[in-house]
Amino acid sequence: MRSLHSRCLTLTLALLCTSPLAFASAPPAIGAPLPPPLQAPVDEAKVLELEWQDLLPEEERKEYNAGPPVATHDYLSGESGLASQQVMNFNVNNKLDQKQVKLPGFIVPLELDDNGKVTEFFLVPYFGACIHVPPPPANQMVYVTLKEGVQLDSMYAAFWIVGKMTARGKSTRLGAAAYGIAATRLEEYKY
Amino acid sequence: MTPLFRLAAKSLWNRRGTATLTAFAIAVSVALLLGVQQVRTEARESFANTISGTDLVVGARSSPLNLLLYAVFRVGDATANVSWETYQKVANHRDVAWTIPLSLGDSHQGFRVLGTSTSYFEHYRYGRRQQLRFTAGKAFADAEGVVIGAAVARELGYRVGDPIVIAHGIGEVSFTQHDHHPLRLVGILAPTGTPVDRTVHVSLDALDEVHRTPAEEAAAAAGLPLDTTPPAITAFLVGMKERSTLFVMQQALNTYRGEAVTAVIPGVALTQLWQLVGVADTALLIVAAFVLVAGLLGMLTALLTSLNERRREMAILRSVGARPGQIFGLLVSEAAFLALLGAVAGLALQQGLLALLQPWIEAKYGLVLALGSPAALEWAMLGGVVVAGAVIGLVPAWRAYRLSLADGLTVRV
Repeated sequence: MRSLHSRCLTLTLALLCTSPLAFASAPPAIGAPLPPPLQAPVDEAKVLELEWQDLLPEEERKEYNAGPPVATHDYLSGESGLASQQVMNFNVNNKLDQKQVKLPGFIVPLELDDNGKVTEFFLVPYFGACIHVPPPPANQMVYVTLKEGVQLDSMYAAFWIVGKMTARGKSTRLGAAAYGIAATRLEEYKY
Repeated sequence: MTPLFRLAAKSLWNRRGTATLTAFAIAVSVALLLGVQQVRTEARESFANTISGTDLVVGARSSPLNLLLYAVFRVGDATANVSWETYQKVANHRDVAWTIPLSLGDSHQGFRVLGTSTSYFEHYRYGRRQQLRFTAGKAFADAEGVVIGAAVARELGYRVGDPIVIAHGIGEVSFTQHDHHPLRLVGILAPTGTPVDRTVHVSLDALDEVHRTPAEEAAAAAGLPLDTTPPAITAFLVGMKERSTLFVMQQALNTYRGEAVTAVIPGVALTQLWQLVGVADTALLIVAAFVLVAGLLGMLTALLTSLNERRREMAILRSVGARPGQIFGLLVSEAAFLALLGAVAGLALQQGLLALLQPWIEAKYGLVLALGSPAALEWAMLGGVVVAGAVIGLVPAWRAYRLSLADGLTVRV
């Protein structure tokens, strides 16, 4: 009995001692350049925390209305009245281009990957934009791509999106949006 | 150690009846667990991969989920049709890049027939924005051409140039064969793992022609001009020039006074589908886990009840030099071995059942379940079963340890 106990103990101790060694790697040779880090860490201090009105160009912020805009009519008849111009507002705040930003919003899923995780989506300022509420103007929506995807258990949940923003303005490229974010991180928004 | 193991093996062989039943119980529960896990992941993958890069799916007013199911997955039925005028209004809108009309309702030997335009082969995307490819032939250029999916070609053995007759309705057998207008196969698509594989694609004109009344047939034969506008389609897919304008189009269609239509964003509808199905498939997984626990408890019962009869065996083992600690280790490894046997047999059972049922599942549900080695998660599950078996084995092992200490070499039964 004693030998069994002592054998178990030695084995456990041996495992504990050798495991840290497994993680150590050989030091680089003297004079050789250090390998680059696998992923440049995001400097948390440089991440701009945004509010949705920051996405509007400065001259338009006075008329900022946080709620959904007035519903457009006659969109299908093809006539471009003032109402449809309002929602096609592609004027962007160019100061945000290429900046690391953090923006909260609701997710409208567009593309899913094999496991049902959402990899491309629109981030919108209020819930219901995909259901029955009038959609926000183009400069109040962000087209987000997230490589590892997010499991969206509830579409009612709000999220913080962190990543590099591109402000493209009106673009002739197919599928371009006024704002885009290549997201690196996503967190649940806790009120 | 080796003589000890030989004796233990002989002891197990002596109790082979009970041991086999125990291992079999574990095998069945492991097969259930693996089967449920596979169906979960593959169904999810299959649904998520069916459509990609499409901004809106539009059909007659119905629930968004129902619309997605019948228009894209060909499961269920449409509530009504969409008029050609409404479709043209959207197709000709300045913000729309492309549209794909879809007309369902006919069948060919149990496979659904889809009436569409050449825009389908240009713009339809699945998986990660993959385009449809042809293994033979090309898209139809006139009203006579038919393009079939990979599964249709495989099961019916068609080749490019073969004539095809479509039947009305989506039952397996139809009493209305449109054989006055046989169509010609012009292309076979590469496998996609989506409902496209089980679809027969024809042009909208072809569907119109086969649905002509005898009066219209006579007029056509006489050479009189015919109105070739299709009266209605089942649904259509939309791709906008600017993706952000899809919300405006969606809202305009959902509130359109001219006709009751519903426009749905595929990603949103699919997410809603997971939320519905997610609860059910988590529940299924929990049930499978409980069945496994029941199997392991069965093994525990079998081992514990056999302990009393094995007291003499323990005494004999002690007499040849086994220490009580070795008896303990022996029983734990016996339990782990039975669990391992059960796990391996369960894997084999699951693969065997899958091989048997796979064609039927594909035909009935359009779900392609792949045979083959389990993924990392499944290996982890099997490893977990063996570890759980060893842990369960600790109970009879401890009992046997105490018994062999108390009995020594003299068994007072």
